[in-house]
Formats: sequence, structure tokens, C-alpha cells
Amino acid sequence: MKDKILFLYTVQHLTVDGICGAALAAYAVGEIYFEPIIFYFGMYNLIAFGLQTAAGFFLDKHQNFLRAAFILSLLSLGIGILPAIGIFAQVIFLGVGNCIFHVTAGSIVLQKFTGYKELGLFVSSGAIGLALGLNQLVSAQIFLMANAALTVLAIATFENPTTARISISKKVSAPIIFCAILLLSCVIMRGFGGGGNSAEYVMLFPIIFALGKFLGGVCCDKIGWQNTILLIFVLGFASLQFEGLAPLILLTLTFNMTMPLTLRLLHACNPKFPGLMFGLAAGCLLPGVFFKENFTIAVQAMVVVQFLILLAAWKIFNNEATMA
Amino acid sequence: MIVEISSAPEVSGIFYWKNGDLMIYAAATILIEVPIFFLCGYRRAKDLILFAAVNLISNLLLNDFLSAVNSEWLTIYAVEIVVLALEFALCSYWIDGSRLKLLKTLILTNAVSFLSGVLFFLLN
Repeated sequence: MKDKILFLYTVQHLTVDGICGAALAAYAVGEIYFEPIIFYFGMYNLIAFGLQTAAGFFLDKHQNFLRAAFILSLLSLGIGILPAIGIFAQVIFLGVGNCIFHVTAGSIVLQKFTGYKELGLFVSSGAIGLALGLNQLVSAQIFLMANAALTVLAIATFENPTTARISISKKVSAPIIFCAILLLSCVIMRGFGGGGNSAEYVMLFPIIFALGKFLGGVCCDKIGWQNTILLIFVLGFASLQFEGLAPLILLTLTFNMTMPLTLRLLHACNPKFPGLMFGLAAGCLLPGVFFKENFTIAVQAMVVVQFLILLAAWKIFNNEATMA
Repeated sequence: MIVEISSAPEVSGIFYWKNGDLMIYAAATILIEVPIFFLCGYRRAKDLILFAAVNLISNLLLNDFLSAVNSEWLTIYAVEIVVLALEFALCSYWIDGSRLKLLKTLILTNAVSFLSGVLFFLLN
């Protein structure tokens, strides 16, 4: 049953990001000037990811709202795809709907599952949905209908989540806070360099993003956190030895592999607030969105610093952790 | 998922093997540091081979990074500290024994190779 719920949320995630991507793309193709597109896309990102921290915290404090949050997300997204309300309002509704879904489902997945691959699977599908929508391969209406059906299923199968038995911090101490800061720094850094695209193969990199996130979770479950970040470092170094599309794909894959690791460990730092920690991680992607053009990080530095940060975070957490 | 405006495709690829200078610097560093590592008490062949591999990786990354940025002395010092941390982290995976001794050994090996490099560039 848990696996079916995970699959449900994973597909739902795909449809939610697909709705937003498709609706924004529908606006963009009709817009003559580039500047409004930049503005509204930026505004969407700010709402969808910037509000997740607050939304997550609210849901952590009011877990009885989780079921209603699914409905609220669906309604907001449904209104958001209507061009008649104007793009400004559309962006607000789409961003809010996306935000609510992410912290709701993310919070539940963090609490229900102990492993990393489930988390990796859940977060992986968004990239594919977004790409399908942005490239107008699937319309917002179709995504919305699918999302509506999935929301009904999600509500019908909803159970109040309880935190599964995982290794957690004994308390939120100064070392644990420092550990969380290190993890969030890694997320910020990923926002500056974890991307990639190919004009020729539009679905290629979204699939790589998704695959990376899933593989990161699988590796972590198989070989452990410490060995996974070593593997990520080695693969990152290997990708720097060659030129062309294949090494870039490998590098992108390795950067995305860190996502389920950081997310799971962040939750473990403050297990009573899964929504908050999920939202914090999402919010830390924003600097990369807005400042990537002005501030670049050399890829060699990213590979090294990411490895060191993650290793340090792991060591600190292990010193402070106990089994729940 | 963050919505991004697509830009021109990016291509990576430092391709160390085509850069003879980078490989020479890496080889020189290994020739300097591995014997010192041996003299500091790490005698197992496995440890020496792993240390050489770690040095190769860190040296290639270091020199290629420095060739891509403005290599002022402050940057070089900062990067050397990061390299030290990287080598310590990687060596800690496989090399048994005191972590303090390992750290001191790595400080020594890196200091010697750094000063050797400075001397080499000053003389040339």
C-alpha cells in the first residue's frame, strides 16, 4: 500500500509541475516581449519555492490540514490555468498551488518512508512534468484532469503520517543547526550549477535530472551515505576529464544525485518539522535561479566543495544522532 | 522544479590528458609527496597507491581551477587549504590510524610540494 501511495504522489508531482509548466508556456508563446516572460517566470519561482518554508511550517503545526491541502492545491492550479484572469493572477495561483502540493506531499513522503530511494523517486518526477509542460508536449488541461483524478485518490487513501523509525538528531543543538546550514549551502550551490539543457533533445536533461535524483536515493540505500557522496565525487571528477555532451550529462546526473541525500538528512536534523525542512531546501534553490548569470562557480570547485560539505554534514550528524 | 529560461547549451570538458603541463605538475607532486608520506610512517603499498591517486585527483583539480581563475596569492592559499581538506577527506576513507597524524602528514606533504612549486616558478 505504501508503495502505491508513493507512486501516486510521484505521478501527482509530475502533473503538478506539468500544469505550471504548460500554463506558463502557453502564456510565453503569446508574449511578444522577453522582459515580461522573465518577470513572470521569476515571480512564479519566487512564489512556488519561496513560500514553501512558511507553508511547510504551517502544515507541520496543523497536520490535520494535510488532506485539505491537496484540495486547495488542485483548486489553485485549476484557477491558475485560466488565461481570462490575467497572467499576474495566474502566476500567483499556479505558484501557490505548486507550493502547497510540494510541502504537503513532500512532508508525507519524508514521514512515511525511511529510505532514500522513495524520496529520490518522489522528487524526480517534477522535472519531467515541467519539461513536458514547458515544451507544450502535454497541455495544462490534460495535466489538470490527471491531477484531479490523482487528488481524489490521494484523499481517499490518505492516512495521517507518523514519522517512521529513522536515525534522527537527539535534539536541535548547535552542531545540528550547523549540519543543516551545510546541507542548505549544498542546495544553494546546486542551484548555481545543477542544470543543463539541450535545444536539440528537449527531454534529455529533464530525464537526467529525474534519473539523478532517483539514482542518488538508490545508491544511498545500497551503499550508504558516505560511500554515495564519494561515488558522486568520483563520477564528477571523471566527467571533467572529457569534452562533449556525454560528460555534461554525467556531471548533471551526479549533481542531482545529491538531492535525496540532502533532503533526508535535513529532515533528520529536525524530524518534527518535515514540511519546514522540505520548504527550506526548496527555498535554497532560488539564489541560483536569480543570480546564476551574475555569479558562476567553477565546476571543479563545485565538485570538490560539494563533496567536502556533504561529508562534513554527515560526520557532524552522526556524532549527534540517535535512532528514533 | 525551478522553471528556467533556456539558454545556449553548455559544454564541459577540461580534458586533462591533452594538457601536458597539468600532467607534469601532477607527476611532480606525486614524486615529492609520496616519499614524504612513506617517511611519515605510511608503509603499506595500498596506502601509498591510494595516496598517489588522491594526489593526482587533487592536483589536477587544483591546477585546472587555478588556470581558469585569477590566480592571486590569496586565491592560491585558499585553494591549497581546500585541497588539504579534500585529501584528508579522501584519505580518511581508506587509511587507518590516527586522524591527527594523517592531518599533520598531509600538511607536511602539501607544504613541501607547495614550496617546491613556488621555488620552481621563481627560478624559472
